[in-house]
Amino acid sequence: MSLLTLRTLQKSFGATTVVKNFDLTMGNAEFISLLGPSGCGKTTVLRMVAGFETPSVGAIEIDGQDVTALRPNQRKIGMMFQSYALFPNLNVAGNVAFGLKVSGVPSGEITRRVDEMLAMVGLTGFGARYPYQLSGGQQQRVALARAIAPRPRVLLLDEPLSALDAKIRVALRGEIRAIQRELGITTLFVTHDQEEAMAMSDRVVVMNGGRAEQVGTPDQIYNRPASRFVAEFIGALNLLPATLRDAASGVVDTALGTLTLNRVVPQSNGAALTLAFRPESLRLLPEGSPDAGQTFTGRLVTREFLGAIVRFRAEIAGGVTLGIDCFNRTGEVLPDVGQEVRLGILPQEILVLQ
Amino acid sequence: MTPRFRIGPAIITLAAILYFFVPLYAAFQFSLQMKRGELSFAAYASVFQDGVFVNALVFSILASAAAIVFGALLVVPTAYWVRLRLPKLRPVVEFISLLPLIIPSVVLVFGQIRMFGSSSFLPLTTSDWGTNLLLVIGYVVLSLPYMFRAVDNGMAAIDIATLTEAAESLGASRARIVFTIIFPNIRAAVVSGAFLTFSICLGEFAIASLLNRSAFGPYMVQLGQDRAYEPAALAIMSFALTWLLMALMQAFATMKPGQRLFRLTLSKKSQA
Repeated sequence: MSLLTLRTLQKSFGATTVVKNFDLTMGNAEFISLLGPSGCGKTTVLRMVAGFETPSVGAIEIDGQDVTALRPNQRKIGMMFQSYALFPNLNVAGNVAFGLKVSGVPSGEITRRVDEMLAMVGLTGFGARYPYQLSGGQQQRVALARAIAPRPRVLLLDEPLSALDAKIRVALRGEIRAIQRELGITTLFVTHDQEEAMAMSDRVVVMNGGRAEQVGTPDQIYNRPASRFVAEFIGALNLLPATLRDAASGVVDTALGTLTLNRVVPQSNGAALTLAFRPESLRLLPEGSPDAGQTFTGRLVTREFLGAIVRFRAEIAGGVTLGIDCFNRTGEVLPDVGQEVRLGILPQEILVLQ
Repeated sequence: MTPRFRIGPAIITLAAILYFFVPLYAAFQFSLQMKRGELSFAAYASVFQDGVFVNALVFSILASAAAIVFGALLVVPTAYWVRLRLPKLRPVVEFISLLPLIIPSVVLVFGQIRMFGSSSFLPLTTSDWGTNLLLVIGYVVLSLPYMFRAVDNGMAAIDIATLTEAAESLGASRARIVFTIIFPNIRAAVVSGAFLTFSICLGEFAIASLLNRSAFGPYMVQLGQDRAYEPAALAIMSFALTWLLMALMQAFATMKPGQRLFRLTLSKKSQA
């Protein structure tokens, strides 16, 4: 049974519609990310679920109950904010206990639960400290403990990692995911960081212009983008204009020459297409190695060392420039700028965009 | 590197200090000259021995305290709601809060007397408690510009919108949010508004006099007409009280949650 259902949500501010026909069904204990550029409506969807905004059209159900008309304090949700939003006048224990006190939990039970929550977020012994005495990462852990202490039906995360340092961000996202799995809380996460969305989510909703462009697992979103927007928004992409010569076997003409995709392209012959492929799909082929898939030659123009990855740009025939990502393996000698290289790509790694 | 001594600013500073302290010193010296040929605190003793002084002071302290409580209960929820839900109304509310600075308190008290006089629908002036209530309400109005500004600034310093949303998501009602989250977080602002209210109301003359209350303001004026040395002593004492209040305001404003005033001063001493 679905735990959170959003039915044809729509939200307008004056003449501007920021969320359009948004549908989503979340299963119990599922972790879903709303991912998109700023202004795509992802935060508005989250705020409607929280009750801070009222949908212009549509309904929100939590656990089978229609909560669309309920006030935020009646919805039994937990929320984390980008700015932590800890209560500055209360110490850590007081912050975590706040929701429990509000719902009238007996004081002995509150103490027990606060200790349990602080242990869960790794802050045992921090109960007497005040928010201003904690680092950003610690404050956000307290915010997580505070949000989950009253055992909410749904956990809402509004870019909770955006204000943190890169290292802490990566550590904390793992912890949030682990705690979410352990407690089995249905979680809706808003982010503009695709790596975060991919790393944490069971499913990702890519949003654009107030609509859901694609809902799918991180794998589906990355490897089988449903639209041009999704393909371009997620990860880096090489784009190549093409003309379809034979739809049945997928033969296309491009500036790089004729490529064969070995599959049916659902377009009529002569149609203009865009081919797309990830930089990591292109392989630098060593001298004398046999051809695999489509191959072409080019000259390296830039080389960026990114640690685990070395990113090249290569000029190919016809003024086309392609990005190539290679793993930085120990002992592997990668070519330098100015060198001629041979590149290969497998047909199944080439996406056809319309 | 030692900063270079500049003669111009030094002269201006010195002139300002003299402008402020010379009259104060003169009043202080005068207040010590009650007994002919010697310096003594006789004028101060005389003030404290006067039963009317004590009664007037206690009455004014109580009236000021009531005005502070009423004022805070009126201003904090109003400023909160305006900031959270009606931000467009803020200039209007701010203008209204400044009106007591423009309209003389005599106008206010005459309005009160006309509105709530013996022949009105609500004859508050006919009873003692009713008149006291009018006095407190008058004080609340007089202190509005200071209270509202202090509280509004206090709210600007915290993110009340997000704190409200965080508390709401945890199930808290609006009233609970105002009293357990908003009030404690703007405590320093409320306290400084309270001290300003206190120092205005303590010496207030027009309203107290026209409502015929035996408050501290009318007492000081009366004393000024009847005596020579005691008013100077009173002036010095009220200066001292104001400075004390300002010091307390400063201490509250810089205090962090969980700290106590005493511990704060002790730890500072031990560091030094």
